[in-house]
Amino acid sequence: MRNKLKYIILSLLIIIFFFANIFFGSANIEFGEIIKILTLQSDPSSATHIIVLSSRIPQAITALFAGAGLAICGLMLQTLFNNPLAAPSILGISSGSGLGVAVVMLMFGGTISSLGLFGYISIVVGAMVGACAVLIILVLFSMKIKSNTMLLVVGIMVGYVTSSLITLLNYFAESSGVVSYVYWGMGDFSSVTNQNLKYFMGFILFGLFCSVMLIKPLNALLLGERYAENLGVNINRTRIYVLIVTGLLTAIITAFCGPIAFIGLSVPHIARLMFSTSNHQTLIPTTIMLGSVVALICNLLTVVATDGTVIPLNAITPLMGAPVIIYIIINKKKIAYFN
Amino acid sequence: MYHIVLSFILFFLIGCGSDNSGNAFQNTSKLEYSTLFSISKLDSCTFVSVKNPWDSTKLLSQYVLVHKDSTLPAVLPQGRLVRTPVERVAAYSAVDVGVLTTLGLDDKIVALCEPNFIKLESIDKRVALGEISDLGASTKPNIEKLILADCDIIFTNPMQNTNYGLLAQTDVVLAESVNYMEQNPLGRSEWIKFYAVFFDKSNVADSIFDDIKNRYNLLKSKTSNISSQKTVLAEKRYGQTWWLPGGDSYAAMIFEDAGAKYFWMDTDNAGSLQLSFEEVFFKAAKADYWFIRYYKEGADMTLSELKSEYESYALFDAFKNKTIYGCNTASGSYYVYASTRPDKELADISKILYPESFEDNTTEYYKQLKD
Repeated sequence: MRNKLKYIILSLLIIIFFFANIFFGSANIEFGEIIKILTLQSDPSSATHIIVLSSRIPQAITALFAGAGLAICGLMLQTLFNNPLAAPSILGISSGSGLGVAVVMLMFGGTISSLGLFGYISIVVGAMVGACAVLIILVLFSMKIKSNTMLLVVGIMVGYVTSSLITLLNYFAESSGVVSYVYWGMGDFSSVTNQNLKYFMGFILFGLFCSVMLIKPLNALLLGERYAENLGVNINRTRIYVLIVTGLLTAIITAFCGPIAFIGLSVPHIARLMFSTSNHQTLIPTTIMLGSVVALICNLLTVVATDGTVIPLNAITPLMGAPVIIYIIINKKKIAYFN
Repeated sequence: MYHIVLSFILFFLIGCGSDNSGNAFQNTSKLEYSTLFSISKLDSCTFVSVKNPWDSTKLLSQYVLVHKDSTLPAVLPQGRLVRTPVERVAAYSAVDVGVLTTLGLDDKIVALCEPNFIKLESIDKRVALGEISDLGASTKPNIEKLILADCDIIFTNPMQNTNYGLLAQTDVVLAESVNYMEQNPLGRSEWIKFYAVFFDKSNVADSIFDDIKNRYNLLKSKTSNISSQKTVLAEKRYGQTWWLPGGDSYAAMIFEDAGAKYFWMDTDNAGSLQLSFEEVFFKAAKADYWFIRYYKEGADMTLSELKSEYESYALFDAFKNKTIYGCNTASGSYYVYASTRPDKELADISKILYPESFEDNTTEYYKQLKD
């Protein structure tokens, strides 16, 4: 019963912040005008109508789906590596995606977006290859290294190596390519246009559906590999499935929105704290909903905190995520859902 | 204190000249538009000072220029001594090269930062022949190559709190040019006088600047009484941010002088405004013209490429009416001459906005974006 109430609260928060993203933006549009636009009673050629329908709504939908996808990636990786600090941004997966994107973007001299859908597909493939390469490296190391902390250190090291390769690529690239890459790296929910939104949503929904299908084996992994095997769970297959799903989600989100930090790391912890459980049957839907809420709040803060300008998304997400992680570290013994 | 007063008195009484006539500060070169540097002629030396654009109470640098054939005076005012004319020059940027080329002194350049960004045939040739040494990135020039180039002077474009590191320890004179901090287009152009003084070419610079000024003011007068002003939008998004020229900026002044109505003219900002797409669209959705500077190797940008970059660009009236004009900085010499020759950019924009006011409507930098 209590969980039901929490789900209702989360649903309400999603609705509230989704509409807050539509009603508040950098341009000052009156509430009445926005209601007219949403009920299709305004002039379709007016600037305000276009801003709301072509800018604010796609951006809010992108935040809704990207937040859910990143958070679920964090949850699955934390379970897979049995490590509270596992997340796409910490384990170097986002850096791997970034390297893939850098190769593609700098190869085209920063004009990738002018290549249309082909350009986006190239970026997604680049991001996917980069993310999967890092994930494969991590899995190979996980077979040799038993300590989760050490594995995390390996992930961080892989992240450093990819970062150094990115620095080298940037150094030798054209300045326009570097500029495009630097801005891409700041994170942005506004870069998914109406035209690409359906592909973006489709991939994320597929990834989320796959994560729901993995609830049972993920729960078995919590008991330890031996218990899981005794329960009939094929550990290696589960590992590969989790890596493919997280790789796909991270790559898609990173390619379109840039490497967004901390949502994947912190949201699963907030979900666990809220529901005091490690059961993925509860955690997966909660993490999806919470991820959306946090991403919507972050997106809102990028515009309402300033006058007319937009703060980079990655300047906001650590402010939301870092305190949660510090809280977890300080209260590790009390919380103790990872041992 | 006593020493300072004595030095000051000696400086004025003895002067810089070898003839010791005592007529210090005989002639102060008159600057009409530039606010960040001054040139004072003394008997046989020239005193040049550059103001600190970020702290008006301080000077950025001072130079005392004495001709190579003159005897050095016993007492010199404070500042870096430079024996003129300098012969071997290193330059930081395309802007420096543009000024030196305008003065006809490009053959003096022996070292250059980022020469691949300077689109001038004469420079390309000399770099290929090894006559100009490539110093690498302007943020960190290769000191070893600079020393080997045996330069007398290097023109730099410092930013706030620039640390030259090893470069400051070499014998090469650092001539700090902050022309990019001037807000007035003619103010930037007038910095040609700063460069020229090191080569004893002040008369040439005065004459060139007068021509540029007259041409600029003539263009300005042609569009100053236009009854229905055309509205303009500038630049495009990078990431989430649309960087637009602030109301007090160089670019905004060019728009104003071209007789355009720039939507952000009332903003009190000499740099760039960082706005969201929403904010820009809200104000400039109906702008008559849209001017974009971009860097693209190969063919110029097309309307469909612009749209695929960000779909919502197509929602602007300027896109629908195909009144978007782009300046591809990768193919032309825009950045080389933009600072020295503001009359060229003003001519382009004025001709695009009000073609009926001009007989010849060919433009040098801005071209209409094709489908």
